[in-house]
Amino acid sequence: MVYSAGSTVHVRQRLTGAVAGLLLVLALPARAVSSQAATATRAVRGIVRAPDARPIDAANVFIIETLEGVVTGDDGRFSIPTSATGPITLIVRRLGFAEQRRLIAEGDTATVVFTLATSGVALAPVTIQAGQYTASEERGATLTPLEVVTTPGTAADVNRAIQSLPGVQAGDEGTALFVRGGDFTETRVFLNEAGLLTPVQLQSPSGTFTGTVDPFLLDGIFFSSGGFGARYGDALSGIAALRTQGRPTRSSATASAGLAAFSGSAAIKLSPTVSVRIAGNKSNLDPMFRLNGTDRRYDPPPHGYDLSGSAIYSYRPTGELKVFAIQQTNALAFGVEEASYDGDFTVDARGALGVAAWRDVFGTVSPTLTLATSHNESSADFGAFRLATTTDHSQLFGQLEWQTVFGVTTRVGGELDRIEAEYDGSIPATGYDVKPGARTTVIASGRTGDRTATFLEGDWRPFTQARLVAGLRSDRSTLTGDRTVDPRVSAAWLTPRGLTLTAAWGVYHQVPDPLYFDDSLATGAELASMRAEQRILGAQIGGESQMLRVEAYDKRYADLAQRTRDYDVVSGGTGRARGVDVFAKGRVALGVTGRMSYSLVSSRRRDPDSRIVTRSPFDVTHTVTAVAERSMVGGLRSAIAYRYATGRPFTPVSGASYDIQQQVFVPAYGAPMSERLPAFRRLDVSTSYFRPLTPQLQGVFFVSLMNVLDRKNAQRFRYNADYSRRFVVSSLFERSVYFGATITWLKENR
Amino acid sequence: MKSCTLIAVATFAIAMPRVIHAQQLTGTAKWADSASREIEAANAAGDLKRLTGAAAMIDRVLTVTPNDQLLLYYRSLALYRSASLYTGLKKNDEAKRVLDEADRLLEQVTVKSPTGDALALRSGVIGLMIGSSGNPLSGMMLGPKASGLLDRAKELEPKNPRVWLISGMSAMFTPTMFGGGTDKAEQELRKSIALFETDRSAAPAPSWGRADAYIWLGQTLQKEGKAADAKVAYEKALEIQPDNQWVRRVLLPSLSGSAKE
Repeated sequence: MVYSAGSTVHVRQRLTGAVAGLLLVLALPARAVSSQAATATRAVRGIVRAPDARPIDAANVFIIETLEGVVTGDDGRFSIPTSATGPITLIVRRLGFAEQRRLIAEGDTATVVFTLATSGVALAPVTIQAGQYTASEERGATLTPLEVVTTPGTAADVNRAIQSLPGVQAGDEGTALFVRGGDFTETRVFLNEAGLLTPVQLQSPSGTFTGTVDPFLLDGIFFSSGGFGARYGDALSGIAALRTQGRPTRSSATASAGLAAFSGSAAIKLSPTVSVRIAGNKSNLDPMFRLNGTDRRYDPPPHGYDLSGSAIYSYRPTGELKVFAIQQTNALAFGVEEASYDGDFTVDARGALGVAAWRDVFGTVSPTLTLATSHNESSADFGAFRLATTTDHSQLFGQLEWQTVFGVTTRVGGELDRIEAEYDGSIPATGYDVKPGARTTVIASGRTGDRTATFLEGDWRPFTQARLVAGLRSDRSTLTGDRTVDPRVSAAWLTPRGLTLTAAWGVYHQVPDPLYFDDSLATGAELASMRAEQRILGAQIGGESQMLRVEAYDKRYADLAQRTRDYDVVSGGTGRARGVDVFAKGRVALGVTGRMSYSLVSSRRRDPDSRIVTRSPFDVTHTVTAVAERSMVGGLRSAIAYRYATGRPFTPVSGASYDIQQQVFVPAYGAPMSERLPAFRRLDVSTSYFRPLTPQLQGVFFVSLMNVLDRKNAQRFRYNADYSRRFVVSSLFERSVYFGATITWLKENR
Repeated sequence: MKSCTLIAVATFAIAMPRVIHAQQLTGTAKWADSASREIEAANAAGDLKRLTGAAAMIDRVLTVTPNDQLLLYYRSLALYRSASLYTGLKKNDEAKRVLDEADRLLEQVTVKSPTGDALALRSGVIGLMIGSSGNPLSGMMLGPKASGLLDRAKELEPKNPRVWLISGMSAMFTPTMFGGGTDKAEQELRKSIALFETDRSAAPAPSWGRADAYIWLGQTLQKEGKAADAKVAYEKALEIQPDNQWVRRVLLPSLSGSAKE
């Protein structure tokens, strides 16, 4: 027996809604299948039309309780003979229009008129969630990987590309992510579900740089500026989840050479189920500085290397075991002039990370298991400031996800996380006296912090165009000695007019950095897990190629662990960040596509020095990033990016007195955060040319011009010895040109 | 006469297990099997309305079993077939809409249960997207994605004839510089035909494509100027699918035009 588009099923007992439909589908062979005409007791008639009264053909009209249905003809009319008794739910679906449902009473014989609203997203289920952005080849992604690596001025850096998304403030010119009025340490980066360490920086004259991963190693980036689900913990503000590339479909090799770096990578298919990837990158900014010139004194110029490798075992189509390891080394030294000391600042950092991840799909059940370990060593040396840090981080993450027939996906999982940190060195006793021989606090301690967490999350689609995610997570930390419970809810609804409305609310906790628990710094401070409560409301219209998204948020902080300018740690900090983020993307004109993000924020915190609530150091009121791209026939692609940000607040020095004993001027500070640095502006352009050299060999040639206007953006102010004069310390990137080429060889797949 | 008998016996031998098996199917598998037959019959007849009806029927069942991978696949197949007809009717907006939906559904399938059939069909859908977009750059943007999916499909099911069918079709529309061309298309379509000879897909698993392989081989040969060989291929397609209106009304008559030229 064959069911056809017009066939129907006679259901004797009366059931309701989708439950009836489901039982019907599953029970079909056991029941009599008869023609509609033979058993029909009534007919539901109607017409489907567009807002302009034009009849809509090819609309699927059906009764959910019995699955009886028809497709409308050219006149938009339908007639469904049915045996169903009692009220029924009529559904109308048509690609390009929003779905409609209507309850029809048993005795209602009137012609049903459906007027469908057009929808750019057709019947696609809602995928957007408050605060979330993705960069991948998957549908619904905000950015493609190509857009990530070709954004001018990002130097193909993942964090810099994320900085072009709304909700990220230009805290400084580094790679750290200051999200929605929060500190960069409040945003965690995950690699294949394993959290990367974002250690605090006590001294950052070069901008806040955090370790990032080569975007060419990645095949997906998920970024959340807030409202993220219960799966992610130990983060107050944001999440950046990076996924490394999977099994290559064919072997390939790539070699790149640029003005300041050369790299190579290979993907080798050892067998149909086993593949390996290796990549290496060595960078040295010396040639770039020589060509473009620099006002700074570097000895040596920034240089480093990273080596990475992964092995992927696909033991069945849905099952994959992936091991990824990376080793990174970075070093630099440059001259810094401070009021109390003029000398070199040297930084040396080495790190290694290994992540083993397993995932599979067994029918409707998907388990994931991740085991990760990392070892980081860093040393910073500047006058009296000398600190060597060694950190070992081990993690185990497990999650089980399963789907039910009613559109509910349930996720349950847990985490074990251990950080062992050792500190050795001396930190100046006061922030204003850093000259060699100044009074210091000796730090020689070790801290071990364990964190255990469990979470449960339900992801429910009550109907195609609505989504509700509700979850609960609980974390316990041995460092704070407390257990936290975080409820989180996120909802999205795609309205018939194609507008997606989103909302999220949640409580978030984060354990302060282990260094803050050092007795010599946290004098008397009882540190608890820091807390943030987030509320987000948003709306989006459009999809992948053309969209406008607006989100408003309110984030309230409590129990913040903060550091004073004299490196002391104080507890119980409070704060609030409120703002609006706007993201627009689409075609501009003449084949140019563009995207623009704008963030408006008001971020206030208790100042750790004065203890009064004022602007936070991350209160960058306006941040704008605009990117325009043009792809031309023949493989040429050009892009231009412009960034603007309000200057960061800072506490000015209002005077100074001389301390004879210490032989140093002691600054007197003005009102906390009462002044701002000059606004930040920067224009970058880049062009790349893709050319297939042979069917197996491809070349990409690129050139970029950074800081085209050669604007001296202010990084901070420095003072002369008696604080009577102050000078702008300009940012690292002067107008510079960078160029290079990449050659890729692809093995033919036969 | 003897060869016709052999073909009939062979066809019967291939089709019978499927018919017998189909009678034993239950639940959504039965729906999937019915859908597959309806799609193929509608496609052969070039009947867009019937194809729309088949896609609608699957959509109804998916309302209550939204994660049924096979039904998602067949709905995508119905949409893919509809898109070809819409393109032929110059209704590019409608084609784009159904292709977009097919791509979305197939992404869902290829994440949860990546079969060679689903991966290859998604590649075919993206191929049609490139063709119907009218944007010369879309090939550059979407081409690598389509070929990556095909590579995965070949790796997963190297003996799946539909994978090689779609690969051959793709090669036909891909410039030689990017690894395509009619030579490659012919080679892959012949491979597909050879694999169809031994294909024993049991219902409700996908079994479509045998006639398509000959149809596309015929077009490749026609493009290479081998009209006589193309005619043999088209006739072979009609043996498998006697009601195929595209071959009967468009492709075979076009050969007489080619011969005159």
